[in-house]
Amino acid sequence: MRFLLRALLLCAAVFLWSVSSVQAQDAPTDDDVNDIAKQLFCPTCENIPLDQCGTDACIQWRATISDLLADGNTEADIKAYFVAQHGERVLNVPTARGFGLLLWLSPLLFAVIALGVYIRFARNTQPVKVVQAAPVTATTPQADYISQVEAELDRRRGL
Amino acid sequence: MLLADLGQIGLVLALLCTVYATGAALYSVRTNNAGLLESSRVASVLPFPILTGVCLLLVLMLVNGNYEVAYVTRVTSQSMPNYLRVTALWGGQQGSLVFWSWLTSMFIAFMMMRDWRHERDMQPYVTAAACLTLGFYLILNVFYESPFEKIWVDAFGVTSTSIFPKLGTEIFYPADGNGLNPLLRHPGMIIHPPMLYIGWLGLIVPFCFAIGALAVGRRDDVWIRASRRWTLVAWLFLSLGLILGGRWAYDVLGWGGYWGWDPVEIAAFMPWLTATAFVHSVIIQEKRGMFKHWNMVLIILTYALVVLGTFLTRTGVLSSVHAFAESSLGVPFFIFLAFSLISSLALLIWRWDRLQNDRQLNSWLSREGMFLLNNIVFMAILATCFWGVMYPIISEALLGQKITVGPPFYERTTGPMFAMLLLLMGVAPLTAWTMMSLKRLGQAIWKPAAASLLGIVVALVFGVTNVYAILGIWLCSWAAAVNLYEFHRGAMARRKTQSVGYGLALWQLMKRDRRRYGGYITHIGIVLMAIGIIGLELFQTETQGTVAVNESLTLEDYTLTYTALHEFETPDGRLVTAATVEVYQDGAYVTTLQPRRDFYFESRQAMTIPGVHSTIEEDFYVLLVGWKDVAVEGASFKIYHNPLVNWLWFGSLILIIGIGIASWPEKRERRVLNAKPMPKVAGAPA
Repeated sequence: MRFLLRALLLCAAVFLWSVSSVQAQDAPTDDDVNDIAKQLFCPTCENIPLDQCGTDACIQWRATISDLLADGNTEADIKAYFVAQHGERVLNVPTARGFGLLLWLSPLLFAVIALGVYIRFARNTQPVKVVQAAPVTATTPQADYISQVEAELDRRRGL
Repeated sequence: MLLADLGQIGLVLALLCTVYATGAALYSVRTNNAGLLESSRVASVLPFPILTGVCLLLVLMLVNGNYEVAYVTRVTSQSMPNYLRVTALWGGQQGSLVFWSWLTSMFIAFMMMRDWRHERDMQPYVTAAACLTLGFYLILNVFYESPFEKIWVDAFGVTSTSIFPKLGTEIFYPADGNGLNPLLRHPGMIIHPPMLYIGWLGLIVPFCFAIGALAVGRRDDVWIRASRRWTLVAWLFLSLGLILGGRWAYDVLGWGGYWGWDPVEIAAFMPWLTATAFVHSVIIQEKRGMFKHWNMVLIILTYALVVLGTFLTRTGVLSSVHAFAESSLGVPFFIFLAFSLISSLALLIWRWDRLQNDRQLNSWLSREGMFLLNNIVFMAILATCFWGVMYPIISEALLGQKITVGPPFYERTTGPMFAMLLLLMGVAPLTAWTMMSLKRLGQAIWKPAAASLLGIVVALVFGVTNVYAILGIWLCSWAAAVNLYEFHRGAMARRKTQSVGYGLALWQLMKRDRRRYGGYITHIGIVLMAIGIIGLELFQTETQGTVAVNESLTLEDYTLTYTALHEFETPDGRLVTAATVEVYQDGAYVTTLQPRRDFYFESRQAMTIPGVHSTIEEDFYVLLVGWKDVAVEGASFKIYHNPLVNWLWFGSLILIIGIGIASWPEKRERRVLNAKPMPKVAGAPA
């Protein structure tokens, strides 16, 4: 009898724990919703992330995110759900595949082109030809710098 | 005759003046007629007083509440205070276009009233380029988007808007207007558009001088020297405009940030990128006679990006909180953009051979080499931003849907490039002109490099473990150390040679070489801004929750306790819902904030105004969230903890001071510039 009572108490405890877990899962927090909402843009409010938009449509979308989270869906599932419903435009950035890959690769291409341009210039430099040794007026970097500063200020004074 | 009719006549007159000025200026070259050139100069100045009158008329109608004028109805209402009615001049598409034209005419008038004796050969072409630009905007005002259209009503009570009455209609006088968009009622937004417009339109001046130089085939840098001050002032206002826009977004848009990488924000940022590259690059042409082609490309690109920016903002191509509604301006804007870009590039190609550099790059490790690298990085950032803005339009054309390109794209791609700029900001001031050995650079670099390590130590002491943050803070401390070191080195050098005190030596440096040391102050401003950006981008935290009265929400070491809710109407037509919250830090009371939501009855729009507790270290930023039910029993709050964000605003101030110093006129320089003889060019009027 005592064993049965203990078994019943254990079952009750497990039941209560599982119910509380489910309830906790049922009620995602605002932060949980916002974490996903900030990665989505509603098609009617262009360029305003879902977590900041106050239109009725966006309130509805956030409620949908909350429901989907409560049903146990992951962030990836929820984003996939909205993409399936409304197209890839709902994402804050396109995924790096297909046409989206072009978006992500282009900055790399720009950087390579920029580097290429710089290397081209750097290779075509013409070293200074020393025709005659300049009079030695500065022998240390500090003295050299002082003469540069003075020359610059003199130049501006003479302007 | 109504005031609106007078305004429309003013617009037409101003347009006629620009058409005449353009034609007369170009014809004066052909006929070598100095009188005609002078006549074109006067005609190019005239639009300024005329458009001043037009703007005053429009302001008068806005303040008086002449609701028979469609624009007045659209942007004002009886409940608006007078200062907002004045600022409504740039609160809508048509009014802001008139304001835009007026600012353009102001720049042209000032430009044409200068002493042209030394650039007389360029004057006709500069006049033509400037007046063509103004003429285009006036065409838009007169034929497409006039703020002087009236409201007409027919026998069936159907209303329409036009300049002239339609058959069977009579003028309609609405009792009240719709009121200004609530987003535009913030002080930041009142000042932000004029600053941005002045910045954008000021860049027309160097462009016109560049076109003048290309047209007459001048090889020298007179066009740069003549327009340098204008360029710096325009750059100052453009920077100020962008900063004020950021502050407005932070205070009004209610998302805890200052820059959302919105397409229209980027459209305003792109001319700043090219203008910044130009401001650096022209120094090389002035000092070394190099980068002549490149400077032309940069200024043409800057001008084209200004036109592109207005095109994107005003045609409805891009949707944004900053953009105007869809309009009929798309086709004329596109034609003008294509015309100005193609014609100026054609001119450049025509003159390409005449723009040979006086010197060649001698070494990549030189001041010129570093400036070149700086310019290339700016262009890579520009290309990335341009691509991000255009991608949705391209995707719509190819795939049928406008793919969104949001902040993560720009942050991930431009972040390393901005880091590169910070690195260069530290290396370039230490490099010598022409060439430098690595050994000599090492000798110059080691002291600031050692000092910059202090930044890493401070970051570690404050518990920063994020690698990107540590790298960013090191780059900031590196750039700051070098730029401060430059002041120190200069002052020490002056002390040695002039036997003056350290303070006086510093003052003499600043006074005699404002451009250089103003530039260093600007760099220090950028560094402080970068620290603020790092703080916000990498360490911002947020939470949201619904609490009942006397319940609390916690974020970081702050606790917010909701104590009361008040609702009241204001005389300017708002329903204000304000929550009172007490803020505690580590358990100690700090302040009481009142985040609120303003609902504007006229426009049926709500604004979320944050309650902010600011310190030098951070902002505690509280929003009364609009999309949850607000009640005494429970209200929803969104809270942001924004570390170091005030460094951004403080750095902005330093940046503006630095640009101000760099662009402050130097009398001696002006005198010498004026004294230089002008080379004669065949065919140019005397």
